[in-house]
Amino acid sequence: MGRYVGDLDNAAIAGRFDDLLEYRQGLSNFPSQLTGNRSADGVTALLEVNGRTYRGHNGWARRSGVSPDEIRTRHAQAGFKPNANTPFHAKGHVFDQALQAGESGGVARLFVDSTFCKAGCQWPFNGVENMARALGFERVEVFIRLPNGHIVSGLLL
Amino acid sequence: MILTVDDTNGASKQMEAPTFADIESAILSLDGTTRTQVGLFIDEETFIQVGGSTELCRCSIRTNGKLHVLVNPELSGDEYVWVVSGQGDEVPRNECFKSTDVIRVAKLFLEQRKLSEEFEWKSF
Repeated sequence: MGRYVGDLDNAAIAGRFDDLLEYRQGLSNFPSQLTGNRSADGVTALLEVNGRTYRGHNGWARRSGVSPDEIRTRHAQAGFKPNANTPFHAKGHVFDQALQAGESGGVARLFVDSTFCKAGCQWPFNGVENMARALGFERVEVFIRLPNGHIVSGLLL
Repeated sequence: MILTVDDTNGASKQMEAPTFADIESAILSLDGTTRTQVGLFIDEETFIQVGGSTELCRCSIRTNGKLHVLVNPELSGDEYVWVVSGQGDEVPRNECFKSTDVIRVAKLFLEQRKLSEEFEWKSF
């Protein structure tokens, strides 16, 4: 990711992560607090684009009654270039919702309460970038919560 | 080639030009909680992903424009198990292997660019 050049102030960014925490705490059978370990905590994500907001979490497919193969097929047909894992992660969930809502183009903001996984979502595998490009997003501002609670930001596209 | 090992505490690692011993060691180190995912990046359209733990290990290969997911036809696709591969997910039991099986599959692909016929594949 490049350096963030967007216009959200710190309070607005903190508000999005408060939103994610509230979303997390509203999920059944999902960890309600963050310890800094992605396995223990699970992950939530929030995607804003074209005035709409999508919230998602890992392990969403089975909860939604959708088979893994159905999701892989949908993402392949959409040009997401799916890898093994990203479709089923929190980021995959919000991009799947954006896909199904017909989102195309625009400037997006993605908030994730964990680091990106190293062997699928980020460079060189580019699982998230591939989804953003397939939806024609012109720019994606990304905000990530580190295990120590700090927020870092950058540009995905 | 780039070898990546995901660490769910945020201490992920990567190595350029790994030996097969490095790759084997990385796959065998998967513990399903902290080290949960290994990636072998060859190029944008060619890579191997291995995730989970030594007993519940998933493998997929992206090549020739498709994602190929390793499947064990002797196990059920209707039974699901929780596997952390970067993030946790409920995974069909027939997509889970012992890591030693996955190492054989990865070795064949790295050496011959062939999908193993020892098991089956689903392609997307």
